[in-house]
Amino acid sequence: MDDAKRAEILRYLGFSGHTLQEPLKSRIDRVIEDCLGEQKPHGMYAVYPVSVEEYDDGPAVVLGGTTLVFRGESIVEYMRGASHCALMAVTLGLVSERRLRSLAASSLTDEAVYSCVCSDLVECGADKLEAQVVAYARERGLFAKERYCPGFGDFSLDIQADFVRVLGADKHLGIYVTPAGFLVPSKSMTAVVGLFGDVPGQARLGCVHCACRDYCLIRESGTVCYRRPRDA
Amino acid sequence: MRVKDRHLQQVLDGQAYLLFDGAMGTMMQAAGLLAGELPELLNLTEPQKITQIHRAYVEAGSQVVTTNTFGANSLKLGDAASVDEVFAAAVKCARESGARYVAADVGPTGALLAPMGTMDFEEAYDLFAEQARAIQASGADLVIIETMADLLEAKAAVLAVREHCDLPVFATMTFGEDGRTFLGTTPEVAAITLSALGVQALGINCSLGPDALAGLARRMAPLSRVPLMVQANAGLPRVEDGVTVFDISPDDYAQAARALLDAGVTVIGGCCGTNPEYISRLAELVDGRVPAPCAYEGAFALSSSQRALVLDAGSAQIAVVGERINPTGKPKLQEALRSGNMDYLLNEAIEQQENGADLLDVNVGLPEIDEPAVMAQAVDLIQGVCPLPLQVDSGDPQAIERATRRYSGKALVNSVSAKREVLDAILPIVKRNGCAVVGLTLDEQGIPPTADERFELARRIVQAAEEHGIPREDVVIDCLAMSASTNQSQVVEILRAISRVKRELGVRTMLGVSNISFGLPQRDLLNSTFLASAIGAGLDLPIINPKSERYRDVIAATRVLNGQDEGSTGFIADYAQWEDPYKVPVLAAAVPAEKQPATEGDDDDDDLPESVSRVPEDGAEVRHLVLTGRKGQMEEETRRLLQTHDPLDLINGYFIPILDEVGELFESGEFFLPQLMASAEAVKVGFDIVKELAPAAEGEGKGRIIVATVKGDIHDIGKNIVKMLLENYGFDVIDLGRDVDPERVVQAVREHDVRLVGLSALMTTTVRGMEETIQVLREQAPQCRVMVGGAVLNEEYAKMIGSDFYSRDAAGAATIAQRFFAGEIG
Repeated sequence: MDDAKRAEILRYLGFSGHTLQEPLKSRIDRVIEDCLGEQKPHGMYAVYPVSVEEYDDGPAVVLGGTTLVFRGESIVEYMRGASHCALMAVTLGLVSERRLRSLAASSLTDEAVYSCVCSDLVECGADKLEAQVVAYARERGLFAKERYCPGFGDFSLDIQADFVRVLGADKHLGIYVTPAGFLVPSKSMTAVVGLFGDVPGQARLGCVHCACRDYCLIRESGTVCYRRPRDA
Repeated sequence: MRVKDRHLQQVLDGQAYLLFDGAMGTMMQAAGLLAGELPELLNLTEPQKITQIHRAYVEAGSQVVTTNTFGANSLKLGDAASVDEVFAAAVKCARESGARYVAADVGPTGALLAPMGTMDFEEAYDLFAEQARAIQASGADLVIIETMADLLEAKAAVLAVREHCDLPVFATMTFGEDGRTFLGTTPEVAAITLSALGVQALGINCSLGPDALAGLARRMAPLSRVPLMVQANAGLPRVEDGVTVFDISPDDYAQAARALLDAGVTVIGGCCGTNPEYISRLAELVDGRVPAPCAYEGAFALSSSQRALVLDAGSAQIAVVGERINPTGKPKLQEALRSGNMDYLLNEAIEQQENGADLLDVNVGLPEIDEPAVMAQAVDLIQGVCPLPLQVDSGDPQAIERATRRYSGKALVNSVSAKREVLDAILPIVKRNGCAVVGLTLDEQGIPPTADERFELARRIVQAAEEHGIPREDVVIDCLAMSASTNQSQVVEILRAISRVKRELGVRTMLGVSNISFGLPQRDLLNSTFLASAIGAGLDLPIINPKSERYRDVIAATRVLNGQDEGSTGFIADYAQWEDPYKVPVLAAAVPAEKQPATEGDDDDDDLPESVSRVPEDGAEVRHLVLTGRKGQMEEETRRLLQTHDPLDLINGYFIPILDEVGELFESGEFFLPQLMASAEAVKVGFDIVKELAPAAEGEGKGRIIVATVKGDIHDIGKNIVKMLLENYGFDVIDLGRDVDPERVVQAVREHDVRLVGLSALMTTTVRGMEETIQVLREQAPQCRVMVGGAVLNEEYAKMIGSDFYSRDAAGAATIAQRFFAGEIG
């Protein structure tokens, strides 16, 4: 297993260059290989016309043809000027959930590592899906901004249930949302991608803009939760 | 059951076709419905539009129209409208179309059931029951439960509708390209389970086009006692500019639908992407066609939500029943049950599965526990981690009812006997909850000595089952093995009874073999010989310990002899290189080489962290094992140390200082999480050995702590790591699991007399649950202290919500616990 690849996967566990001895190193590698062999991300996206409307209580993002309205400074700022918005969702499916529960009953260490790999797979899946959105945009002379997820900034997780239902991710991907706003399977994600007529500004990603920066253990260990800059 | 007319009865008997309608959703979107709007409200606001859509289908040839009530449950409707008024309006719209039959449509609740999600089975049942009552009052002709991905949710719907409404019930599930529902249910599992639950038609809808669904329908046919129903999509959806598009034309659809009819489908309609044009093509297809006879084969079949266990009628196949989850003679399991340590049970389940069990017995009968509650919990949790079908083993009708009601699949109930009282108490539960049943050949007079008498009791059981509507393929007979040491002449009688029951009653047989050797030496030899004889006599379902290699060897061999292992390929693969234990190698007397301690000449020493050891020299080895996470060698080293140290000294002088060292390596950033955990795992092995060899040592009880993930939160890895560490430090940890109601925490505090509770929550949305729990504890258990942890908490917030202590991570939690019970804090 490539050291860099292993480091990238383990960043969720706060790995930042720690010395790994045997037998733990081989054990971790084995769990990583198992997970990569067993789990596969599935995703979908749909594109809608979008606009930012000014209401009495402030601006909001409105998706045409749907009941979806996004509120919050961050998402309004992200979407201002966009002509279209893609909704995307990625999941590893309930097989991953069952596998994690089963591992938890026998070895928490293995589960922790497996869980990491799953999270990384979801992110990779999201990268691939986003690339499809970018291609879709280019075919229509539009430009895509980096994806932005519910939970970032003040883009509230409360939107998840409606998001999943409007997109049809419940029907087509088997993603459910609990009353508290969690996605099940837990190894799932949702995101929006704004599409613009001109090259848009950068999305506000990174630790400095994140609401969790004050207590984030990953950040404290010297690494970050998101994947490093994408390959071209 | 109310059946509207003769034609509908013929349909239910599989003698006539029934044509449903097509998609509603796509038609409504075309009429301006926004994505995310509640289509069901249109029954109230635009009834004429809805009737118009229904009428279009009637004119295209639909005999049944499906009401616009797919999401008409109170969870989805919220305040927008009541379930009653929506169903009343929807059925009215449907009637006004002039349709021959009106089917009340029931879709999924939209929430995911526990244990994967957070909705309780009974909550789902109540949502469906509310709909069922509305349907009963509305005047519909039948009920269609559709687009179900979760078998357990489908079961809740079927039970609710059957118990509150007297109309025929059809149930269909939705499958993906991999031939499974999102929750892993296969067509076979769906057919087995829904058949047993007594629906009037079952099948498939949505997800795929008619081609793909024909293959799935063919797999259901031999396992379905009732007519098959399929409503296929017009191909796979594509999203173009925000609009969902399907790509099969009406003609191609009909062509492909022919395969559905050939597969035995007699109730047919269309799903997403279809419109009246598609339906009129289907109408042409079924016009004048007569259904083929039902393809049901009467196999013995059980299921979990993901796996079917099928013994084809008349075939010589055996299925292994794992016996390990039974407290009799198992002190560790008894202790686990008493203290609510479900992980122990789950591990037993997984291990038996890994050792080839096909079906797991679950028995939690201990006098001092609440058997119905524990049985239901055990079944719920085992289903979440193990895909094998389960045998609910209990003498308590309440335990059987509670466990089988929420069992996702078709369970086996063990047992009834020929006692009238038992048959009357248990058979109705078996029937109602869609199970199969094991009958023991004993009655009020006990176990009869001869084969013929056993046969008579078996015949009585089968008859009683059939009287309760349970077909004989769902009955398994256990002729009860007595010990050869006390009843030697009966052994042949047992075997004769098995053969006769099998031959003349046509039922499957079960037997627990280990009783046979009770009181004799070399039990394994006797048991495995008896196992082989019994299989030869016709035993189908032996109850054994799958972890025993000897039994596995016998089973593997018998599967060659009865043809189950076709071409003996399995046997050859597993046994060609096997070392026969009877063949002693010539050099067997050689003494094994002196074991080298792992530290000698080991390069890994260079990789050990720079921290200073806190244990005496003779602890160097165990320290090394723990720091490098070598749990495999911990047992041996622990036993070695116990020869010269007493248990408490080993724990307090060695394990705990080493754990402290690991904790500090973690806090300082030198170790990251998996290293902490691997070390804790290693210590746990040592700890378990100490407990086993010196149980009094742990009876010292350093302190009892409850841990839980709060209500609404389903992430528990953080809490589990805390638990792991706390246990290794010698604390008695009671784990309430995830999504725990505040009241349950209080109850547990009272029941176990606990002074320290650890709560965890992952998200800002669920930290509220933490606050609630703390409040309730303050009111009802003021003597109890609370420590909190979780990704979104900090010291400040923890104080704000009223907790006593805050910990960033597992190591911190362990420190708090130690200081708390030493009286230094709190």
